[in-house]
Amino acid sequence: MSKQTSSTPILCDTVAHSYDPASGSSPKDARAARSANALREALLRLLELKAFEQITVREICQEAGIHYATFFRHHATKEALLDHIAAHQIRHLVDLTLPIRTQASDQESIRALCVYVEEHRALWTALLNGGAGATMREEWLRQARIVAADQRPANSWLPLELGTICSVSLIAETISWWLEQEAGAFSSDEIAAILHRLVATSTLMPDAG
Amino acid sequence: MSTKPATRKRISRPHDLRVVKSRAALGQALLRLIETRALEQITIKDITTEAGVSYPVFFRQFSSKEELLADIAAEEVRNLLAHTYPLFDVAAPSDNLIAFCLVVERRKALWRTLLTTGAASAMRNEFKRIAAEIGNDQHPGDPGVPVELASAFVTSSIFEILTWWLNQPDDYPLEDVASLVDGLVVAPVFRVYGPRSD
Repeated sequence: MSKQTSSTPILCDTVAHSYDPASGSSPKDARAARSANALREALLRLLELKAFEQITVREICQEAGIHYATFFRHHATKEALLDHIAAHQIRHLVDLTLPIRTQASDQESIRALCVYVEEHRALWTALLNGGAGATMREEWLRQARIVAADQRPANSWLPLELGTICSVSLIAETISWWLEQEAGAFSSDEIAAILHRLVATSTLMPDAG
Repeated sequence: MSTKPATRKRISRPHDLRVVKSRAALGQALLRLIETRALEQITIKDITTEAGVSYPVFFRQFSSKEELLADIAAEEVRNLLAHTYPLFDVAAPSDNLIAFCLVVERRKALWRTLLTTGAASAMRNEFKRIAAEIGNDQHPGDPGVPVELASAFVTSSIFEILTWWLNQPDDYPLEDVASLVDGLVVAPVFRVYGPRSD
């Protein structure tokens, strides 16, 4: 998916996709930003109703109130659109997990993370457990590495790089497993408690003594 | 079937034996070759020559070298699992940790190949599936963290550590890997579930 995006740079716009509509410097940019937003919102709404594989570009356009051809000015495929959403979603998740550095201060951020995922259950199911799962995890790790580079490690027994890898993989595995269970089988509080327990006993375990 | 045991035996046995033999020979050959160069640089011809079998014999067993590699991967997963189980035994844990790391250390080039090719996710899934089975036998009750999730945790931690390790310089101390496995896999499971109960 991301390969396709990068091999078609013209369609993978970064300017028109800015989430800040005010950043458009001309009326044309503003319109492009509006339709980019509409497409994103439309796919998010449709994902609440059905699986990503069952959603067509035509439906996304209909839902967004945008002409079919306009879609392709923004993205080559619906996968590219999902990719674009994914990068932003992960960004949000990584920001939420930013404070998770110490056993004492992480409980709240883990809870916030779980609540956020629960509120966007359909979207995260599509992102993490769909065909794009591997790409998602790579992107997640890539962003987490950038953040981790600026932070003080939680301990010294664990190499920072491996700690980041294992933390991301632990959170991703747990959420992915949660999304495979029936909705409501585990509340966000329960998952947060489990996740906290797993992180606290492994990657965030302080140095002995 | 039970009415014709003699026929079945006469026809299938010598053939089966030959199949098993050449399968093993091909696997051993690829294992030897992979220690010397990258998978992309190994041809099927190289494998059959090394195995001492004729070229067509390969295709009676496998459709591609990737399929042969998948066969080897499955074997390695079983081997790794066999060494994972004792990790959760309270007795002599550090010896077991070293033994676990040696599974990979002894075949570093192979593992490097396995973990960086398409075989990796199949290996993870197989490992996770069996780990969940073992976990369910061990902890039928609910200790707060569902067994299925715990096995996903154990699996992903183990594979992340191994992948990371194989990217370190070749002289990265085995003891250090062992203590990482201890800190990231064994100790967390103990803290959550307690030691193995049998």
